[in-house]
Amino acid sequence: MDYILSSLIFIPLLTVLLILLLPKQMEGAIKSVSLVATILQMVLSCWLFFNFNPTASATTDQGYQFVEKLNWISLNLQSLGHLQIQYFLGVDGISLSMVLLTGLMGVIGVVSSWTIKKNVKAYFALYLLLVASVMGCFLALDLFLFYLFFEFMLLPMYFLIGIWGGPRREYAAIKFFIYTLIGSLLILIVMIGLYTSVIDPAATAVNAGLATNASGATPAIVNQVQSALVSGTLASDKLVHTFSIPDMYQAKNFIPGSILHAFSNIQLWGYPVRLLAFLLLFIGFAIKLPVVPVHTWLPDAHVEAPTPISVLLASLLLKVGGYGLFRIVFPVFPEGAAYYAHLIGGIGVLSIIYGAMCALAMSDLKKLIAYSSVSHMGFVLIGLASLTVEGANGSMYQMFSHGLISGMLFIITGVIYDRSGSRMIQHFRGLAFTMPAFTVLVVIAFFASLGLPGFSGFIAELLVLLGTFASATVSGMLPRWMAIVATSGLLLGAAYYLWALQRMFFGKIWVHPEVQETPNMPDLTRREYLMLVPLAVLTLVFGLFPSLLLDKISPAINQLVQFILVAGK
Amino acid sequence: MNSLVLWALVVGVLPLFTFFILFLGGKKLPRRGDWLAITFTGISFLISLFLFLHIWQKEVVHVRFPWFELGGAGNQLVAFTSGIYLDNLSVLMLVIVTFISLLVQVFSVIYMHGDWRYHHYFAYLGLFTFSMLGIVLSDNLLLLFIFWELVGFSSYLLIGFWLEKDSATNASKKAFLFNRVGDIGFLFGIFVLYTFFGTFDLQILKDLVSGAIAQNNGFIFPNADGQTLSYTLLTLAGLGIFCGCVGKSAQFPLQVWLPDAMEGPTPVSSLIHAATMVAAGVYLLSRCFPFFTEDALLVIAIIGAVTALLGAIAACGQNDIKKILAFSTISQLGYMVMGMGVGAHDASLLHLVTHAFFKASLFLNAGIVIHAVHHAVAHYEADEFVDAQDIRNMGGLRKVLPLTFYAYIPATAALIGLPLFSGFLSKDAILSGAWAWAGYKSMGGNSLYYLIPVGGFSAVLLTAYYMARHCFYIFFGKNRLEIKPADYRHTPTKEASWLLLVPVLLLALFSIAFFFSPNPFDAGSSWFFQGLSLKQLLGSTTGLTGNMVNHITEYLHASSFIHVLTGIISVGLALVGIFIAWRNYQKASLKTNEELFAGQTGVLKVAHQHFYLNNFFENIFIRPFLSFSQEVAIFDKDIIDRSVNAFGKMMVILAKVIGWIDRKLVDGLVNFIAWLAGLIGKSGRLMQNGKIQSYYIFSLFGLILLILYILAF
Amino acid sequence: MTNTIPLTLVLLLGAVLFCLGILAVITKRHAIVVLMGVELIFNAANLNLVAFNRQQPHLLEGQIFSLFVMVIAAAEAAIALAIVLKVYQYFQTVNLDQINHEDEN
Repeated sequence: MDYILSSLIFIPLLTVLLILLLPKQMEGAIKSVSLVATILQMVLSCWLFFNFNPTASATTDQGYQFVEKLNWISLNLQSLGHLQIQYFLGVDGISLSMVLLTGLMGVIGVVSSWTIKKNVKAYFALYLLLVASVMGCFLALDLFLFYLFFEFMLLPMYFLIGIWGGPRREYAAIKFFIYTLIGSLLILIVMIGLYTSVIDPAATAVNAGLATNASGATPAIVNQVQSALVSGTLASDKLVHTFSIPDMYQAKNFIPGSILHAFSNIQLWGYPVRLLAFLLLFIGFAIKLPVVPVHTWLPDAHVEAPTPISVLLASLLLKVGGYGLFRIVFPVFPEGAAYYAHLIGGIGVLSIIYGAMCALAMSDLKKLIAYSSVSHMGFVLIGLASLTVEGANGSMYQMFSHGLISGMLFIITGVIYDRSGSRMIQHFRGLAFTMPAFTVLVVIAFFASLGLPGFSGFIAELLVLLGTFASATVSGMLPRWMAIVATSGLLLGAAYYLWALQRMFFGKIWVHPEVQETPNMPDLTRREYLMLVPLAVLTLVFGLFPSLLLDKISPAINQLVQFILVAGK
Repeated sequence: MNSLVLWALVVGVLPLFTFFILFLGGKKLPRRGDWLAITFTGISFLISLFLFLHIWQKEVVHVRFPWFELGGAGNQLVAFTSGIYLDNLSVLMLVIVTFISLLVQVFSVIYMHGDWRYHHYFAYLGLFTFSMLGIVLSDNLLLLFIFWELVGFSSYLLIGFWLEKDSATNASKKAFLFNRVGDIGFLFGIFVLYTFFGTFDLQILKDLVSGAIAQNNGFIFPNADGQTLSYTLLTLAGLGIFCGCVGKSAQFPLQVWLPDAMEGPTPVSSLIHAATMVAAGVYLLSRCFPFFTEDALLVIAIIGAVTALLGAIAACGQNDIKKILAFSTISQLGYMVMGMGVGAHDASLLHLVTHAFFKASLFLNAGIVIHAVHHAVAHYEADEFVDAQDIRNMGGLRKVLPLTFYAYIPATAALIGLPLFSGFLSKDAILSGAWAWAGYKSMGGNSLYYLIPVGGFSAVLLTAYYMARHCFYIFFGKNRLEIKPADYRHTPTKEASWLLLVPVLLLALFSIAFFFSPNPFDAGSSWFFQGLSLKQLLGSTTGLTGNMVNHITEYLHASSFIHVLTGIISVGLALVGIFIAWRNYQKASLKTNEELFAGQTGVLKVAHQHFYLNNFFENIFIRPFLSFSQEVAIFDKDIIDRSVNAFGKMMVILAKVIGWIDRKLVDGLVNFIAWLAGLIGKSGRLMQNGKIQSYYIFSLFGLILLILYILAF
Repeated sequence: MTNTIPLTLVLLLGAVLFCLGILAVITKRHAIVVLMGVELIFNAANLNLVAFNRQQPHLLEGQIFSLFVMVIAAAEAAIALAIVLKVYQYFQTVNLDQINHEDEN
C-alpha cells in the first residue's frame, strides 16, 4: 500500500482512459466501469481512514502519512537558485476526512448519474476526471500540484454544467468558471510570491553539499541550513526554491529580504505584503467556499447543474475552499489569521444570517438548499476564525457533515424534479401521502441540516458555536456577539426547512396542474434508496459517535490551532 | 458499573426500541404494534419503580462515559462526556414519565383506533418517551440539551400528526420554532458555563460554582485558570438557561405555541403538553438552580408570576375545551417557574408532580368528552359545522358520562387548589414560599416584591373561576344541542371503553392529597418534600443563592402562621371564584348560545384572543422578518448578482472597446502602410498604360526635368 | 546677301515646326497623322541643320546631314506605312488608342 494515495488519484484517471477506449454505444459498460472505479476509490479511502494513525502523526515526515515524494520538475536557474516542483502527496488529520468524503460521495454521484441519457461516455469521462482532481486537491502537499488539481476541477465542471445542465446552463457554467478562475488567479499571485520566498532546507542542504540526499538531511543539518539562510551565508545559486506547503509553514524557510518574509516589512499601499497575500489567498478560497458577497455563482450553478453534479458541487467542491483555508491560508500566514480574525468571523456570521434569510425567501427548493449551503459554510468560517480547539474541530466536522447532508438534500430535489420536472415549493402539497418513504428521508435530511441533535450537523455546529463563544476568553479572536448572532442562524435554519417541509409535504395532497395532471408521484426507487439511506445512516452515525472522526482528525487540528496561535502572535 | 445504571439505561432505551421497531416495521405487526409499545413502556415503568425504591432517599448514582474528545496532541484534552445521574428527582421523574406515558398509550389504543398512521403514532410516543427519559437521566447540560431538542422534535411530529390538517402542521412548526428561540438562549447559557468552567457536567459545575470566590463585581472559580466571570455574565447565563425553560415550558412571552399545540391528538396534549415535556423547563431550572444568581431568580419569579396571571386570564376567555386546559397549563407552569424564582424549589417540584397527574387526567377527560361529543355530533342534524370541542355545545354531560365526571371532579379540585387535593399542597407551598421571599427581599424597604405573591393569589381566584366555568359548561345544566344521551355512546350500555376510563380514573386518584403528604393540609412534613429539598438534591453545596434559600426555609419553618394564612386566603379566593362562575354560568346554561355570547367584549375578548400576542408576533416579528428576507433575496438577486453580472458586462464592453482599438488603430496603422504602398504602386502602374504617346510624354517631361536639373546646377 | 533672313527667325520656325510635330505625335490618335507629326519633327531638324550650315557655308556639313535625314526619313516612312498597313489589317483600325490594348482573343 505504498502508493495508495497515487492510486486514489490515478484509478479514476485511468478509468477515464478506459472509458475513452470503449465504444459510445456501450453505455451500460461505461456506467459499470465508472461505478467499479469509484467503489474501488471508496474502499481505498476507507482503508486509508481506518489505517491512519492519529497519534503517530507528530513524528512521520512532519506529520504526514502515506507520503509520496518525487522530484517532478527541477531546474537550475543559476543565480536565481533552483526551481523545485515535487509530486508530493500525503494525508494528515486535516485532509483525511475530506479524502473519505470524496471516496463516499464519488460513489453516490455515480449512482445518481445512472439516469443520464445524453452522451454517456463523455459524461462519465468528465465525471471521473472531476473526482480525480478533487481527490488530488485533498492529497497534494506541493502548492504547484495543488494548484494544478485546483484548476483541473474547473474544466470538467464547466462542461458538466454547460452540457448536461438546465435551461440556463451556459450562463451558469460560464459564471461558475469565471468566478472560480478569478479566485484561482489570486491564489496564483500569492503562489508565485511564495515560490520566490521559500526554500526547501533539505534540498538546499543537498545542493550546498551538506548532505548526500534529501532523506539524509537530519534536523541538525536543516537547522544549519536555516541559520545559514538567516545569516545570509548561503549563495543564492545554492538555494532550492520550493512549492512544498509544509516548508511554507516554517518562518525559518523564508529567505531574508524576500517579498513574503515575516520581517521584510515590505509594504504595498500602506499594508504589509504578507497581510495582502493573506487577503488574496483568503478571497481566492472564499470564492470557492463560498461566502457572502462572492457567493452568487453558487445558486446559479446549483440550479442549472444536473443532480449528481449538484451533489458533487455541494459536498466536495465547496470543501476544497474550506480545505484551502485549513491547509494553506491560515498556517502559511498565521499573523493574517490573527489580524483579520474579526473580518473573517464577521463574514462568516454575515454568510450564516444572509444565506439563511435568502433561503427563507426562495421558492425554488434547489435554490433554497443552495443558499442553506452558503449559510452552513459560514459556520466553517467562524469556527476556523475563532482559532479555538472546539471551533476548528467543529469547522472541519461541519465540512464533513455538510458534505453528507447537502448530498442528501440535492438528491432529494433531484427525486422531485425527476418525477415532475418542477422544483417549485408552491407546486406541491401533501407529498407525504403519495411518497411516504421519501418524506421520511426528507424529514431526516432537513432536520439533520437544521442541526437536530443526533445528526452530524449538530455536533459540528455546536462545536463551532462553542469555540466561537469561548474564543473571546481562550484565543481572543472573536467577540462574543458573533457567537450569539451565529446561534440565531440555527433558528433561521429551522424556519426555512420547516416551512418548506410544511408547504411541500404536509396538507392535502395536491400538485400544480401545470406540472402534472394527477398528483400521484411514485415513491422512491431502489436506486434512490441506495443513495439516500446510506447517507442518512452516515449522518446519524457521525452524529452519535463523533469520536469516529474526531479521534482521527482532532490531534492534527489542535496542532494547527496551537501553531497558528503561537506563530500568529 | 453499578447495576442500577444498567437498569436505568434499559428504561431509557426500551421506548427507543419501540420507536425503531414500530416506525420501520410497525405496518406488518398485528394490531400494528400497539401491544409492543405498551408492553415496553410497562416494563420501563416497572423498572422505574424498582429504581425508585432503590434510589429514593437511599443513594445517588452517577456514572460518566467518555463520549468524544478533542485533542491529545500535546495540549490539554477537551473531553465531552455523557453520563447517567440518578438521584431522588430523576427517579421520581422516571416513574412519573413512564407511568403517564403508559396510561396515555393505553388510552390511545381506543382514541387513535383506525388512524392510518396508527403505528407511527405509537412510534412517535416511543421516541418522545425516550427523549424525555433522556432529559431526566442526563448528567450534563449538553446531553440534556440534546434530549431537550429531541423532545421538541417528537413534539413536532406529534402535534403535526394529522398531516392533512393545515392548522396542525402550522402549530407543529410554530411550536418547534418558538422552542428554538428559547433554545438559543439555552445554548448561550451553556456556552458561558462551558467557557468559564470547561465542562458541561452538572455535578462538577455545581461544585465549581459553589466554590466561587466573590470578588469586586465578579467571581473567581477554583480550577478555572483564575479567570474572572463577571456577575452580569453569570446572571445572563442563568437567564439564558431560563430562556430554554421559557420556550419549552411556555412562559411569557413565548407561551403562544402551547394553545396551538392542542391541534395534536388529545392524548398527546395530555402526555407532552400538560404532564411531562412542558414541565421539563421546571426540571431544568431545578437542575441548574445552583447557577442562578439572585437577580436571575428575580427575573424568573417575575416571568413566572406574569405567566401564571396571563395564562389564567386567557383561560377565562376560551371556549375550546382543550384550549382552556392549555391556558391553565401555561398558568400552572407559571406557578412552578415562579416557585423556582422565589427559591421555593421543593414546592415547585411538588407542583410539577401533582400537576402532571391532575392535568394529564383532565386532558384525558377532555379526550373522552370530545370522543363522545364527536360521536354525538355525527347524529346531530345541523346546517352548519358543529365544533365537537366547543364547551358551548356541551352541557349536562354528567348524566351521560358519570364515571368521567367522577374522575373529573378530583382533578379539577386539585387544579383549583381545594384542600384535601394534591394541588392545594403544592400551590400553598409555592404561595407561602413566595410570601416569605417577598418578605426577605423587601427587607430593604422596597415592598414592590409583594406583587409577585399577590399575582399568584390573583391567579388562584381566576383558576377557580375558569375551571368552575369549564365544569359547569360541560357537566352541568342542560344539554345545549339536545342530543339523546344514548347518541353519545359508542355502545349503548357503557359510557366509554375501560381502556379510556381506567387511565383517567387512575390519574384522578393521584389528585388526592394523601398520596403526597400524610397531612393533607401541609406539605412541609411529607416524604415528598424531604426527598426533593435542596439539601437532598444539592448535598452540601448550596449554589449561589444558598443564603437566600436557607433564610427563607428557616423563616418558613419558624412560623407556621404564613402557611395557615396562605392556605386560608387561597381557599377563600378559590371559593369566591367558584361562586362567581356558578352565579354566571349555572343560570346561563339555560340560555341559548347567542344570548350567552353576544356580549363578549372588553377583557373577555382580549383574553379570548390571548392578549393578541399571536398578532403581535405575527405583525411585529414574523411578517416583517419574512418580508425583510424577501428584500434580502431581492437585494441578492438585483444588487449583488446584478453587480457581478454588470461587472461581467463591463468587462465585455471594455473588451469590445479594446477590440475596436485593436482593429481600428493598431491594425489600422499596419493596413494604412500597406494601403499607402498599394497607392504608390497603383499610381506607378498608371504610367505603364501601354500608350506609346504617354510614354513619350513622360520621357519628354523627364528629359525636360533632366535638362532643367542640369541647367540649375 | 544683305537681305538674308536672320538665324533666329529660322530657328524659331524650326522650333515651331518641332512643337507642332510633337503635338501631332502626342495628341493625334490616327497612326498616319502621328507619322506625319514625326515627319514634321524631321523637317524641323532639317531646317535647323540647313540654317546652321549658313554659319559656315564652305563646309556643307549641314546640307549633307539634312540629305541623310531625308533619305532615312523616306525609308522610315515607308517602313512605318507598311507597319500601319499591317496594323490596319490586323486590328481593322489605325486608331492608336484601340490598338494599344492587348487583344484578348
